[in-house]
Amino acid sequence: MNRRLMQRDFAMASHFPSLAREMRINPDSHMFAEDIRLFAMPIRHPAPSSPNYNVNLVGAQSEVSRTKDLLSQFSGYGRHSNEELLIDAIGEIVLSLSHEGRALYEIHQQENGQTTLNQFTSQKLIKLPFYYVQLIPAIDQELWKRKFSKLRSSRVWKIEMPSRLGGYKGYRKILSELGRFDSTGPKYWREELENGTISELFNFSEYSLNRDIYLNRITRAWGWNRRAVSSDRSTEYFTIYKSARFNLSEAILREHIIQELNHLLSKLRIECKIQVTGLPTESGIEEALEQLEKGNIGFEEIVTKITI
Amino acid sequence: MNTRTQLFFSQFRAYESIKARLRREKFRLRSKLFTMRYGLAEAKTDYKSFQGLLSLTQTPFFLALIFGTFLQFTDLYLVDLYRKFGIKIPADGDYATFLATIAGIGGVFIGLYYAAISTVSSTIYSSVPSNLKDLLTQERYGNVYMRFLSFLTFLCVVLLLFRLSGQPRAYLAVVFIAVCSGIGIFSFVTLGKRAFDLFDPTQLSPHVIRDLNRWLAHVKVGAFRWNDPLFQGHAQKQASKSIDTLRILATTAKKEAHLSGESYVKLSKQIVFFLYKYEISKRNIPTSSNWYEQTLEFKDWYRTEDSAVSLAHQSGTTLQPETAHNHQWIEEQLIPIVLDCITVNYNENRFKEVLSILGHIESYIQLLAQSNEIDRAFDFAGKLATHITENLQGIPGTTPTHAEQIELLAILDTISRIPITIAIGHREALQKTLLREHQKSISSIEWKSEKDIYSHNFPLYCLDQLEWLRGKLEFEFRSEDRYISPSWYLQEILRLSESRRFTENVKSLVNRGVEFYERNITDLRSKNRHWSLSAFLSREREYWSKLDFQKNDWNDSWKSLIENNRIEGLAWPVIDLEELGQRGKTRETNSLKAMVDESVRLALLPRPKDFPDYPGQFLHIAGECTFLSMIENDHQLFSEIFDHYLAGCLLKFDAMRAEISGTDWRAQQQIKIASAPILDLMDISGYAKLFSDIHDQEIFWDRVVDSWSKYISGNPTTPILEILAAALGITESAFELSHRSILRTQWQQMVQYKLSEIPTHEVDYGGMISATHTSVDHESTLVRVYADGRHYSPYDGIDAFIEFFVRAQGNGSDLDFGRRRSRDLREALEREKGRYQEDNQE
Repeated sequence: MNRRLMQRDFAMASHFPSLAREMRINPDSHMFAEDIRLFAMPIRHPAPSSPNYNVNLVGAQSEVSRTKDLLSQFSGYGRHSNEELLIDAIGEIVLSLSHEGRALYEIHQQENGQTTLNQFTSQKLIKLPFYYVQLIPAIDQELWKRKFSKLRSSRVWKIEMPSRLGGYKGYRKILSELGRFDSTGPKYWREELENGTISELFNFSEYSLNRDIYLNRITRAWGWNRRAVSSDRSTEYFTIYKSARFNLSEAILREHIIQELNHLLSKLRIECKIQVTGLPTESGIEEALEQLEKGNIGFEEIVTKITI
Repeated sequence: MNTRTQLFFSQFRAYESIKARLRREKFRLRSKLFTMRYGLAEAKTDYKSFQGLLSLTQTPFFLALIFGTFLQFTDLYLVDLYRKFGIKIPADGDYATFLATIAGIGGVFIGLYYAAISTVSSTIYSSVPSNLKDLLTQERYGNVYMRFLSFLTFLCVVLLLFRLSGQPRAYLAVVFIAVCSGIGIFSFVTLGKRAFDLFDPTQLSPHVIRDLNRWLAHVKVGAFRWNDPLFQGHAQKQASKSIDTLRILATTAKKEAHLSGESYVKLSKQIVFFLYKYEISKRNIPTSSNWYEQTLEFKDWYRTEDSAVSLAHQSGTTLQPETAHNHQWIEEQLIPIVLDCITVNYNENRFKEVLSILGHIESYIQLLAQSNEIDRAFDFAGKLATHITENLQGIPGTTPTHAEQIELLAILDTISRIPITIAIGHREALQKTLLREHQKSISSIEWKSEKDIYSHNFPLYCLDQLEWLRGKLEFEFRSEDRYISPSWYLQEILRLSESRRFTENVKSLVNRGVEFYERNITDLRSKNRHWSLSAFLSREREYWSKLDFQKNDWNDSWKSLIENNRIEGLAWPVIDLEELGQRGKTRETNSLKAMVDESVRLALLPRPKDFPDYPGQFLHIAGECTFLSMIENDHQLFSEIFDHYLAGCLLKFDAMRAEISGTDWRAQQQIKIASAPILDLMDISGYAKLFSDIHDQEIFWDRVVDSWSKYISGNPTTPILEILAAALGITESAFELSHRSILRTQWQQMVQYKLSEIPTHEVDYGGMISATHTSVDHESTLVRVYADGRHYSPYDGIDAFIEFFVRAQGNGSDLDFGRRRSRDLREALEREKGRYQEDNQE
């Protein structure tokens, strides 16, 4: 019988509450991460927008069972169908990826031979040859009963943002840049405004336009449409184009995660392959974008083709 | 500086302070540059004025020069003679005297000129606002002359000073001074005359219009700082001042009886000419330019972008309003001046002056229509008509009189023609839509350039859309380093604007056309001005005919605008061309009824030769429409107009017959011409019987019989049927084409065409040789006779009328209608009846 593992059974700390409290939430980076998570996979199965979504686990029955056991570790709801399992698994992985740019899992082999994955934080993490070392902040040492954690690299499953979307570093840069400039103007100006001294030095409209352009530029690889916040600055075509580009990025991310999951299965010597059909693919969206540019398909048609 | 760096630095107040300082310095520098350029432009204009001054004086100047040279040359040969007679060459002292004299003359001229100006100012300009006085003091020719004269005077003083200081005499200076004094003296004469013109303040209006044009040139794309809101605002303020001055000039002209005529009209024409050029210039002014008067528009909290809403909430302030622009601010101020001028001159019975302004206005309205500004064109036309008709006094009674003046009729005719001008202008604009000119132009726009969208001659309503697109495309380029929206999308967005304007225009052409004519015709009728009303009716018919001609273009244009559209959900306008056509048709029918009515009313009066023959025109139109109503089976229209048409024809016959004098062949010819309306009437009356059978609508024939019977019984002493017989007999007695017979033949052809639509079948006679005849599938014998399948029917409406109406009257069977009418229709009918029965029995 499987023993339910506790956090202390794992070598690495899953989170640092002290750092979470210090973290300032920026609305744009939060929205960005949130959008990536929300549109990576259908929200449920069956979903009206993805009626053909299907997950096929290719392998012997025992290997398929092992794969399902592994995938079920990402789900907290006791899912049964392959499709639901994969929605939860990818959802969980994307949650970490979207907030940190990468997801790290400690591979734990239980005494009964079962493999367990435990996600740990990438904060205060140092990569050394053959080892990962985690420096635990002083306030959290009481919680984790140690000053640092270490783990062999071979026991870590690491997944990062795909290089086409900027990779881990590129993504971290986007997150930090998104919070750089406040939407309500520079601090000195806000203070002046609150004090009733309206400064004519500063042009808010120009600032706001520059900021919108800046946000578009830093998220250009993703094609994030910022929930169409700046649609009054752009044509309807550009808004649709951005939506399609964002869905393309989501398809790239989704396919990358599935590929990495298949790598994990082979690393764990599980002879099974995850195959997904019925969701928009990278090549399909690229072709739809080409057709849109030529005017061969309408806005509604492309939205139907790219939306999950 | 890239966007990120800009945003980074904008977090610091110091950066914004430095930026603002730089902006101020830049503005100061540009202002100086602007002043310099302005000064240079002024100098250039002054130089041109000086050239103008020179050109005014060149003839006397060169004459004097030639004469002086002649004297100089002669002088060489006369030296001996001088000596002989004891004449001395001027001594040193004379030199000084000469210069002093010139200086003195200069001073006197200056004094005299200003004395003249003061006189004008104290008499005419004493009670006018300051900007009109300023205009007088800024009078360019006078200023240039005064500068020139003061320079010359002072130069003489300086030369005298040199001489007094012991310097030698400068012979060249003497020559130069002499030349300049020549210019000064002759210019003084010219300017002296000009001073009298200044008693008419409107003479100064060209200076004001020139100023207005100059400020307009400052805001056109490509001018110095054309896109700087501060410069645009400055130009708007200056232009506004010029408009104020024009308004004051107009008010002054209006108050003074001697100025309210020609001078006021001249001023108004200048204004209309300016408006014309301004309308074209507008295509080169950004629609958001501060040149256009600004108004504030408050934003909707739930439609505003998040950052602005957050900011307003956090700072406890309201959303900043957006500025809108009034693109008609100049027209709104200038057009009333022109309309007022028309009213003043009209009330003073200066009709020729009014007509001369109307000519200018018509050109301006045509330009508006060519620029797709149909609503604005109708606005102007409507105001124009109202200004005239409101001031038009009613004539007592309800019957037409000759109290209406021909000049007034000409004015009303010009006004009633304006919608036609609009329709023609619109058709020219439609051709551009059909040729997709704007669609082609948008593909060649350089979106990076701020100026390029204004260089393709796009109308104002497209500019708005293009500026909107440019803002979006700039956002795309700055976000993506390339333009994303493809050209098909841009074309479609532009087509949306075009289609909106197209629908507005077509609706306006119909609805406002109806409103324009209906209102004015009703007003004129209430004032018992039937000739004026007829002018409107006549033009209205032309208007609807022009629109009818355009309808195919409307369909084609509409198709070209909405075909192959790919963007779903765009708010494409809706237009029901059928419904609009029906509205126009209804109005046309009402107008026709009014025409028929007027034709009878006006026929009761002899027409003055200088008045257009509206009754004749209306009677002819009534005949055509009565005939067409039968072809189209519009029995309602037929019933409504036939009575009037009958009365009109008989009145016309009486009127024309009354003018016949003598008994020779000329008189006979005149009788034939006078009989034409009677023949038309008989023809139409007879066709009514035929069409009653064709359409199985007895109402056509019943109406004819009823109207004729009433007329005959109402005039028991008049041998009407005999007159009809005589008129027909005399007209057709000669071997020649009778008057208007070609028109009646056209009716006959149309009847044949209509009859050819009735199905036929071949009937075999049987016998040894196979022979067939074509039998017409219709119950009516009359229809079958007229629709003889093989031959062109020899019978017309007159034959049917004689057979079915005249012969049925008491003495009708004995009447002789001439040789040509001896064809016995009755026999033909009997024959056909028998043959039809035989065919059916078989």
